[in-house]
Amino acid sequence: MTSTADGSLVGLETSGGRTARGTQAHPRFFSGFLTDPRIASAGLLAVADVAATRYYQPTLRNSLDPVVTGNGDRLRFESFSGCCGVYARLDVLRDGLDGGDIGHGTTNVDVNDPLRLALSRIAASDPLHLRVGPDELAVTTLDGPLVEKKVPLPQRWLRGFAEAQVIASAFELRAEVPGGDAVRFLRSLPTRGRVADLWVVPAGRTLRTTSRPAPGAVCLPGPARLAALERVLRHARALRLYGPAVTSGSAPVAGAWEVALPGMRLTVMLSPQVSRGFSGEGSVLESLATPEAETDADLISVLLAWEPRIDVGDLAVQAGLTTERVRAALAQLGTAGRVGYDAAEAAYFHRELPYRVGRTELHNPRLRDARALVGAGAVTVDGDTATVRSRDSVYLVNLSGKVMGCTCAWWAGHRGGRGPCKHVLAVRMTIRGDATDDC
Amino acid sequence: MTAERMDYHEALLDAVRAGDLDLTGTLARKLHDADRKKILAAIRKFVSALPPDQAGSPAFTAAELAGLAGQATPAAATQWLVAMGRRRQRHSWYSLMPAESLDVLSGRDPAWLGELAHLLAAELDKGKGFGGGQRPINHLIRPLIRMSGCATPTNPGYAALWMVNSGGLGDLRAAPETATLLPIALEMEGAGAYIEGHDKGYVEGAEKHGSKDPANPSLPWKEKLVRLTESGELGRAVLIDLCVGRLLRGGRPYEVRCFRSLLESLRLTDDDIATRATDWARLAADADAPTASAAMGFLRRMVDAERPVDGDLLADASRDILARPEKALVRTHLVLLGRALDQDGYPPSELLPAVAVAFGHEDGAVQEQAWKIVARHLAAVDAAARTRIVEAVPALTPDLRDKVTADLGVAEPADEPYRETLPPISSPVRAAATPLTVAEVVQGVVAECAADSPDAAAWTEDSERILDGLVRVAHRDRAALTEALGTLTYPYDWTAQDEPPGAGVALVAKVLVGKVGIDELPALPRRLTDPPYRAMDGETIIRGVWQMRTWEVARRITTDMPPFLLATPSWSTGAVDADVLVDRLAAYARLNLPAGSADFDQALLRVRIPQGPDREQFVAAAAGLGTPEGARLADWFSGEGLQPVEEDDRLVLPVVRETFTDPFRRLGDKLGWSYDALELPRWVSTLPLLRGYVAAQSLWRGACSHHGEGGQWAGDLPLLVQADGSIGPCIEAVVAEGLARAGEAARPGVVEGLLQLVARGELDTVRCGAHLSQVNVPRLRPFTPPEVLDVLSEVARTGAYATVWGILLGALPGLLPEGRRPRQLGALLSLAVECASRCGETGSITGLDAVADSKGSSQTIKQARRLRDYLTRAAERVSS
Repeated sequence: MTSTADGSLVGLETSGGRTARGTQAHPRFFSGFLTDPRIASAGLLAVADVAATRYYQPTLRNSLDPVVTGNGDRLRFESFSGCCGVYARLDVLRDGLDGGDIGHGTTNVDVNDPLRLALSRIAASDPLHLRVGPDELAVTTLDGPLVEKKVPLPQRWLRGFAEAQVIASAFELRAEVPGGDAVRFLRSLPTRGRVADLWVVPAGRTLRTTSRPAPGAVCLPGPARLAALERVLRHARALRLYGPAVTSGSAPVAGAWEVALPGMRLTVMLSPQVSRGFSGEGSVLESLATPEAETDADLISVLLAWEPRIDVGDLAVQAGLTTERVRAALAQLGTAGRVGYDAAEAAYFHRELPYRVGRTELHNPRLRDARALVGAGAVTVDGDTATVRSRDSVYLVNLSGKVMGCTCAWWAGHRGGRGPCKHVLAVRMTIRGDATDDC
Repeated sequence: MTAERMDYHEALLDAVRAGDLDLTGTLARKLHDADRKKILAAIRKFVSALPPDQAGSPAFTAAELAGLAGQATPAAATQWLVAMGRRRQRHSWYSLMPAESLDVLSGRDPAWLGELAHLLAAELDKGKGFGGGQRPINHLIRPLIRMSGCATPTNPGYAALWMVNSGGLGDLRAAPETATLLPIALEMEGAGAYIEGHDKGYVEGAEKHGSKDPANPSLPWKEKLVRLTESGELGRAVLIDLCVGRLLRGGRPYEVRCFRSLLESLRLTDDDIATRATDWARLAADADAPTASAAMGFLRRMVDAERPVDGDLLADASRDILARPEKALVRTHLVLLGRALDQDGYPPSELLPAVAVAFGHEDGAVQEQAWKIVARHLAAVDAAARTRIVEAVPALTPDLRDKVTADLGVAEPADEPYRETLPPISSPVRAAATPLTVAEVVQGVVAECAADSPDAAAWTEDSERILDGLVRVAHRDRAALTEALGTLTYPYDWTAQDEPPGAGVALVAKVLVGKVGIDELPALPRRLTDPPYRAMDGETIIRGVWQMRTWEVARRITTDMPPFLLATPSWSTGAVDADVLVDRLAAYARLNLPAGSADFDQALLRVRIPQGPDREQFVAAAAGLGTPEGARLADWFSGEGLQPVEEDDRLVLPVVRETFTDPFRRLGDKLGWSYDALELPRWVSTLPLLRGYVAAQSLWRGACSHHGEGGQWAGDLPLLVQADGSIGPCIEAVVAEGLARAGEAARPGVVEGLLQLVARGELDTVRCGAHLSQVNVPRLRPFTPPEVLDVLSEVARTGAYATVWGILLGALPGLLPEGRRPRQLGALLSLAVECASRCGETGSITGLDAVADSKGSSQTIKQARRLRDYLTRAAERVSS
């Protein structure tokens, strides 16, 4: 990143990543100016803020690198909070980029203190040159020494990427308010003290909080977690809310808050509760791979080429599969973090994490426990009810309802809101009879 | 290997075995490079053979020393030392390395030692906290640097450690590292918090522990840093830049505060300030409020000292600063801009459009201040700037906008007719279906037992369904249900300790599996019969109703085995439809089964009395059942049902006194007061047809509440609004109590309830306001009552301006007299002007003239005048 007012340079150091030409040590897939440097730097800092914060148990420190993806016509910066309960993404669209070819690839960027300082200093009149993936030294604006802190992405971040996109794919636009009203609404939210779970509904031109869910409402658990949006608020043109369909009896759900900026979009997605991280949501487990979807996913992954919007129809034609099978295959790729979901465009986008993800769901603790149960022969299926014996306890899983339920305490606490429990998973594996091959 | 070296080996191992640290140190120092590997292997073997209780023995320590001598590379030695340090720290935080460690190392090559020192210093970067790391290791680094003569490490961790241990001012002045290491340490996260903590401790403990040596005084860090810049060991510009950089970077308030006060202590000169104008502008725009305020102070100094701030820069920053939500900051900056504009050198065409950003501020007083500045310099701006100002005018509140459009001579925007934004009326929803399979019911029981509340007897909406599910499934297949319930582990039930054997769904499950015997179930709740509780307070009775119902179910589920319960709600409020109850009784009649008395009493309190032509049909159907319950229901349908009656200024329900069982019949009398929190959902669910009665009871409870309970009940107001029956005359007072008492958690519920009532046309907002001005909420720790201003602003923001105006119209006469004025009265008046002018309402407020006519320039008086002006003009407009 270059601040050229005084001819000095700031570089975004990349730490190895995947591009369209295969894996490269220092990939470089964008070099050009940004149309609105103030807003872009505020947005980037907001993404970095989320990566550096824990909203749950905030005493613990956190410092992780945002992931950047070049998608041909846009750049996406993504991060999770340390508690994994907040996901932030800045999409810099073509209008926000001034010149320069956007290549394809994914890498992660170290937003360290000197870069943070340089971004904070950028004024509206300074041109800002962004170069993702330079070969030279990271920062040369300051005379002081540079502190490089490389933090590898932890497993729960990778699981978070997978979960967030599965959850987001059920989102729809629920409300849109103009910039001024959005600012007033967001600033009126309670941020201190014990705040009950809130729901937000459209009210005329603006939004209103309520204490109970209603059809069309978006859940807002822990309003303080939207703090990162404050950085860009005064440039906001509109605020858009996305969430899954809810009824008046719904438990808290995830929701996405998107601030429309000139040439950019900043989206913050919140988990259903402050104490819940996306990594443990278990929605990936709902779509546990069928052998067919796995084969399809292998085929589809070959056809992906860093599209900003994956066209399911096109892909179906190319692969010779039905659109349903392509969708199932994309969901499967999502579980490995290889595609993301953009609720604003209601479309998947291609992203390859610069790490060996393998099959993320294999590392899921619940799935591991479920395999152990199946391996120990703990499951007995009897008509509409299955019995799972685990140590001294016996759990009943009912198979008749729309959602399989269990009599364990974990299920009682979440009632399906965090995916199936290990007993339900074990029963499903037994019924399908493929569990042991999966290991 | 020569015999001599063999002997030497044996001597070293003997010294280790004997635990002779001195001898081990001496021998290990002379170890030959070629022998290190062999010695290390021998030591590892020796240590693994040691019994576990020998871990801290002299022999073990000697082995550690000999092992250190056996390390070939600095990296390996670092790992060995880190492990040694960790073992010591586990024992005690104050433990150090054995003194002989340095002896052992002293035989090595200086370059080797230098590398070791740097590697150990690098270990500090992994530690948590500022200047942390391992104490035993920390104490080795400096001697190693001295021994090796290597360059000082400059990694942040070491710099922080060096800073923490750098001693007094004299030591710092003498140390050659000061200029290099201090800035590195200060850049580290945690430095600010360390300095703040140290300096706070210094103030408290200086007398006792501080060094008295005048040449090397122990001083607070901030003072040391300032003095170092004065004597030149630390560059002044370096320190200032560093502080500004840390402020720009932001962080936790405690961390940032240090650098702010450090800047203050450095007494910045006009030159220092002028060279960093861009940074002050960015800080004023983006930083936290205290830092922004300090940065604005520097900008003001520049303007006052007539050292011009670049016009573009000021205009650019002002646009951001004036968009900030903090009123005080925006007002301060407007004063600054006013001053700048009064001087030459600041072109109004650039600055005035930026000032106009404040037209969009929420506070009317800020808007007015901004307009005054614009009006003063408007003549000097060019056409383009004027257009931009005119574009910002619609953001003003209507009363000010009218004035401004007149002054600017532009056409007033055509006002659209005002429409209040209110939520759609919410109706009760159908109650969720009862679980019908064994597995579903057992899942429900687990959820009830595992609920977050420690009170297993707690009632929730779900409890009703699950209780009914238990009855239905037990009727069908008791053996399977009992077997499944037997697989559960039941958590300890705290309520059972207070009132054995407990109550609720969990108790019924326990009776089914035989953990509790039927003979253990009491006839009436203890708190309703025992002397200390005989006050008959409403909370205890309502709670007793649930206890009695679950005990009745527990008795009958194993004996009569009813097919289902009569009182299970049809609607989310608890109401039961008339036809549903008749059908349920018909099924009982077919089975020749009597109804449970508590179950049937509750069903009667919940059943909607049919109205109109159907009524006779329902009476006939009930009577036609031929059972005593059928006859009673027919009577109930044909009578007046539940009619509250006023007795001694309190509402009572005489109709339940005669025919209902205990504790239902107690609801017929005046209810006593209780210390328990008001559980509105349970009240509504027990009496879902009596909104007005429940409102009256809540009011009486709320009004009598001496202890600040945070108005949690008020959060459930929407549920009360949805229930059946007339809302009654108390609702305005109930809403006023809720608005005045509801804490942060209950606020969305109160606002929702208020708007629902207004949308249904069931709330007189002016009366509600009058009550609001009379509510007296004591400020008792830890409960702080909410600011009414915040709640009303929230309601206004959603577009319900007429509602807020109504409430303020009612409330202001009670708040304006001297001695009764609340905090932020000026802002309340400003809100009143905004609401009235947006919805075009008018009215008169007693006492407003007295305030508006009094002398002074406080916001209260200014805003009172503004409100009076608006009301006079509005009245004129209406009459013309």
